[in-house]
Amino acid sequence: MPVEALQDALLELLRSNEAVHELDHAPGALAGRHHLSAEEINRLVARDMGWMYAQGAHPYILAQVALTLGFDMQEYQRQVRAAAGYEGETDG
Amino acid sequence: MAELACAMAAIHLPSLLSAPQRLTEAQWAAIRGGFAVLRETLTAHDVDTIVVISDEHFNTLDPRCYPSFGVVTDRRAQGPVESWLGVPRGSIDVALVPELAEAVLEQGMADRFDLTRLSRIQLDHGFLTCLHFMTPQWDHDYVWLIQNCVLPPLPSVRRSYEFGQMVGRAIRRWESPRRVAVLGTGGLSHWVGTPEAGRIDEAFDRRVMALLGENGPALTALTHDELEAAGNGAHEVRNWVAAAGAAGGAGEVVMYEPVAGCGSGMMRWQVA
Repeated sequence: MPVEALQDALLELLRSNEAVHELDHAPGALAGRHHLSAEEINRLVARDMGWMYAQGAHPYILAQVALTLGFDMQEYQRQVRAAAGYEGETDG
Repeated sequence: MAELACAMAAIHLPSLLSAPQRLTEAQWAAIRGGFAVLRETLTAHDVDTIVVISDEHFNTLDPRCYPSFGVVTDRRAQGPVESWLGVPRGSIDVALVPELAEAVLEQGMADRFDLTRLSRIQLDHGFLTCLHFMTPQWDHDYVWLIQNCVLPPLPSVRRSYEFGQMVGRAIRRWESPRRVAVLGTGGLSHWVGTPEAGRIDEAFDRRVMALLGENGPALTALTHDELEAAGNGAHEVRNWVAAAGAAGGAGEVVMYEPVAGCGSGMMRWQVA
């Protein structure tokens, strides 16, 4: 599962305030612990939710990480819809 | 022997705690009214123990190791584990009943359910949200049973129903004077973290609640694909199905409202 390392990092962000702090102040440590590629940690630091969704991160995990990071959920929706090419109902 | 006094189900929509402003006054009136009915049902049946059947949303459990059916066997548990739920992390401490959890594990083995024993599980919104409104003083004892509704392949609807039947048997055969309620949480139609998030399939919700009310063979004929079409969150209907299985009798809809991106309902069943 190629997304496994990224998802492990997302799970740590869900569960650890220290990891959330690290994301912005010492992302190399988070990347090293989970063996993230340069692109993965850069996308994570940039809160590129659409890219992570397209990589196959579990949507339950991704949405909760967005909430944990205080991410604007309308922007989250915009990103995942763009990443998926979604043109269906947008009543949310 | 313990008595299965009543069974019910309700949404565990986290926005009720994390973003209450997303609901209108009318929606809040319906939600509060529904929880009041469920709370009164617990009181009317003199319930002292609540068996919660829900999924866990990867806050403690891991996609690398997630059981189809799990039984939390600790004596106490704390939550919420989420930092974003609007309730201080770890501020709720509840008493669990490991003796009943063990009785479920035993009954499961007898009934061909290979259940997973779980420990050191922190409570997430699947357990906490309904009870925050139903037992706000946390003055009952609880058991937490976890069904996989989040990581395919998922148990069939029929298997979830049989799981609930087994849980009902475990309660009735447990040597204890306790009066027990079963509470299934989650659902109905909703999409979590996907492009469709925000949609609600009201027709699906009403059809499923009608089937849950009938509590007959058509309920267990529901398929994975039918649930999937109503959103990745609709798989949590399995927790309602388990409650219906435990009760065995007819059910009634306590409330339904399409609210904040989630078909939001509550039901209760007669115990057969």
